[in-house]
Amino acid sequence: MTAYLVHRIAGGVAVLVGLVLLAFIASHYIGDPVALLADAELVQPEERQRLIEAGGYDRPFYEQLWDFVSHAARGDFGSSVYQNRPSREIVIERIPNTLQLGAVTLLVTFLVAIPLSVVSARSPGSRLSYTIMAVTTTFASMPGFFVALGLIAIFAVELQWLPTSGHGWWPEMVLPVISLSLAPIGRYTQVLERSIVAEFKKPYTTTARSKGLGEGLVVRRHVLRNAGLVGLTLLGAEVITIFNGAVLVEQIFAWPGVGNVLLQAVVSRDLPVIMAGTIYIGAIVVIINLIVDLLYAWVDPRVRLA
Amino acid sequence: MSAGLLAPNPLMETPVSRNLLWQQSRPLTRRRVLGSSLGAGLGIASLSVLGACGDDDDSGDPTEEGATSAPSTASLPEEFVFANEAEPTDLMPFFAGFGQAISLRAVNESLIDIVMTSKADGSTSLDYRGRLAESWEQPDPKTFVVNLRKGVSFHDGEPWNAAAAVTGFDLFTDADLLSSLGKLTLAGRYIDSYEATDEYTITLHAKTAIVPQEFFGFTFYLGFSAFSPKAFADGGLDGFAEAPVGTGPYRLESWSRGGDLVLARFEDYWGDLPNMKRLKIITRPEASVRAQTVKAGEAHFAFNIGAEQAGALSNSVVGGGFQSNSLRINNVRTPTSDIRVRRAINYALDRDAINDAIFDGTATPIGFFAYQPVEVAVWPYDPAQARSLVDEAGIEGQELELVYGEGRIPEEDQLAEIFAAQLADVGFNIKLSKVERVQYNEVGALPFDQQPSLFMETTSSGNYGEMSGSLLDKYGCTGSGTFCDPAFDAEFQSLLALEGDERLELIGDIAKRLQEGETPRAWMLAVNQVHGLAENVRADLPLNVYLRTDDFGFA
Repeated sequence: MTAYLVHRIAGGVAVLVGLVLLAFIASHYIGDPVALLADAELVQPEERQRLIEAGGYDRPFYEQLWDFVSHAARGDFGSSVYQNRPSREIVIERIPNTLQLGAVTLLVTFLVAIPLSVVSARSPGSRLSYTIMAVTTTFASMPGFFVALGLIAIFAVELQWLPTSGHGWWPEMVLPVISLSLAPIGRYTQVLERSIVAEFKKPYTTTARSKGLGEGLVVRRHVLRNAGLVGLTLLGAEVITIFNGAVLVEQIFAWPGVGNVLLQAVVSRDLPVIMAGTIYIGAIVVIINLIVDLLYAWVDPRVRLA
Repeated sequence: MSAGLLAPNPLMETPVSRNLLWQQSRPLTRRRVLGSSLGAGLGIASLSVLGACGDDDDSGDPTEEGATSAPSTASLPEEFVFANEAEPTDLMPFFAGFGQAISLRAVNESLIDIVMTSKADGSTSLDYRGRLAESWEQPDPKTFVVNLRKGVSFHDGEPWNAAAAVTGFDLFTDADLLSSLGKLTLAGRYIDSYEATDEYTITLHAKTAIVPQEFFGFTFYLGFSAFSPKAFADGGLDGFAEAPVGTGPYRLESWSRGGDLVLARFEDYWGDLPNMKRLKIITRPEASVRAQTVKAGEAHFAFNIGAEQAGALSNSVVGGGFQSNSLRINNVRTPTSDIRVRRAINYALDRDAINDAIFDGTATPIGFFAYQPVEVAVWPYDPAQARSLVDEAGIEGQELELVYGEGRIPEEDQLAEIFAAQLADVGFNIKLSKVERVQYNEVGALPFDQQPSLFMETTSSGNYGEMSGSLLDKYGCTGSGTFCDPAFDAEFQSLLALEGDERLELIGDIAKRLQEGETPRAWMLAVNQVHGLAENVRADLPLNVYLRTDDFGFA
């Protein structure tokens, strides 16, 4: 297990190093950094030169790269162009909000997808099963922004049950979570349902039933444990999808998370915040994937032994 | 899900919602739900937050101001909710670039009054009016004496006087300090020194002889404001930027980054008090969602939602947008170096049809920089004349590249496509090239003969400072256009030495000779902002000035 752990951590660190290098190279080749900051018609040549020197943009590439990497290793990505604050601080203060949204979305996904998949798997080919599969296929294929705007139009504007947007737990969180969780619910239900159907056909299920165990116990104690491995595999990918989706959902619902701040930074070309946001989101995804890998290895010994 | 499963929405208990109960009483039908969903979906393409630039306003002649009696607000809601498009990065009023500035100007100036501003009557004059300045004089071409308004207090009770003005100037002229906030200051280019000459008078010395329009444009309009010296000394730059203390009609009640900004009316304000006791500014970056906040009864004012979204609301208003769209026509490369081709381009573009199609008629067709004190005719739409000129120049079917980029308005893609289609109708063969912003800036700065034939620009309306600067930038040999005539350059420069009618006359003459004679660019439309309003809100917004809390309130 220790060797497996070391191997996975080393892999995660390598991904992060690669991300830092890619982020710097991409930013370096975006173009003239001073042109990003201000309108050319207002920046005089001497002011432009001052900004270039202040940013160190006139130094050789390798010097700039080393400076960036050595600072990034300490979590320092420079100060925001538009705020007199470290970009790290701007991103970190938003992380709890994004994690709040992401965690509740995952919880809702499990709470809805698991019962749906079990119900569908217990009567495969039935009208109920077809209905569940049709609805979840629709969920999985709906564009997130359309779902978000449609939910606002119906539940906030027409029915006035919920606020259009804003930050908080209840009721502000309801629409963003529904918007973010519909697609994962769709994917999870479909994958789990197929996995459960396959497990139902395996001899150990027949044995459990023949021992006289109730159907609920068979499902909870035997079937779900095995079928759940597939869900665990999917978890890493879903976390990435939820973080990606959060950029748009946070923007639409004015949710003050990392995605929201990152999108604003992209629009205003606030490079230090873009770098910090990209790398911190990358780090969160790497850490969550690492946790998923470890969970997988813990649940299924074949993984760590291999 | 049913209504019974949910607790009453606390937002429905707000005064805003009570005023909009008509919405709740309308039956929900499938058509309404689908209609609303589709309407909301139409706003999905406008995720970028684009700014604009321009002037700000004034509540009138300083001699007419000063009444401080509180309006009767007994029957009005306690709180006015303003849905803005961008979150403040801080609460300092200094100019922070066009993209950052415009939507936050109303917020900043509610807290921190400015010393001088442009006229608020929507006229095209460059006249400046005092707010915290009562009058000024120019005893010699390099000296300005400014008399400050008396009896004005900061929110912390400190007096506004010449010493406070000097503290403000110390900050305003410190480029290093302001650049740490990501702010621009242009004052250093013009101001040599300044001092308090008595308790309510400051004297400013310019570096060179300068006309008031230019001096006030850059030294006052773009940021010189009234800061409480005590609050600044106590909080420092960072503390002050988060909790400023000014003389404005509102004082800061609460603000946290990522959260709402709440302002409370400053009852000792020197000017007319707004009828909104509390002003809550919420940030909703997506235009369609801002519009929905008004529909849902959550907000009274939705800033810059666009004509399309405004069409779905029962109350809206057109306000200043400060962006003029034009096509820069390459004057040194063939075939656009041919005056017949440049004229054909101008004749081929149907500005009214574009305005109706894209902006729902809310933009203004222009023949020159918008809101300028000159009358330059808008080129008429005359496709027959355009085709005739194309034939005469012998360029039918010849490929011309039109470069455009991510501009300051979200409609640039649509504009480029319509331009190409209308030009194709008269025989041009347009190749559209969209480029990223940095590349766009780089292409636009290439030597004139290396620039594309056509280059789409959405630019400031030219009235944020001195017209000579705008003319030099758009039409000068060292500017960002593709037109060069040293004789014109000399005329642009000569504007600096003129004042009053003589100066306006020369601007008008230059504009006509440029646009009707040389035709170096095709001016298209001044794009205005459209704001959504709740039913109980009034707004009277001049087109050439920034939005201020003076201009809107409860009806």
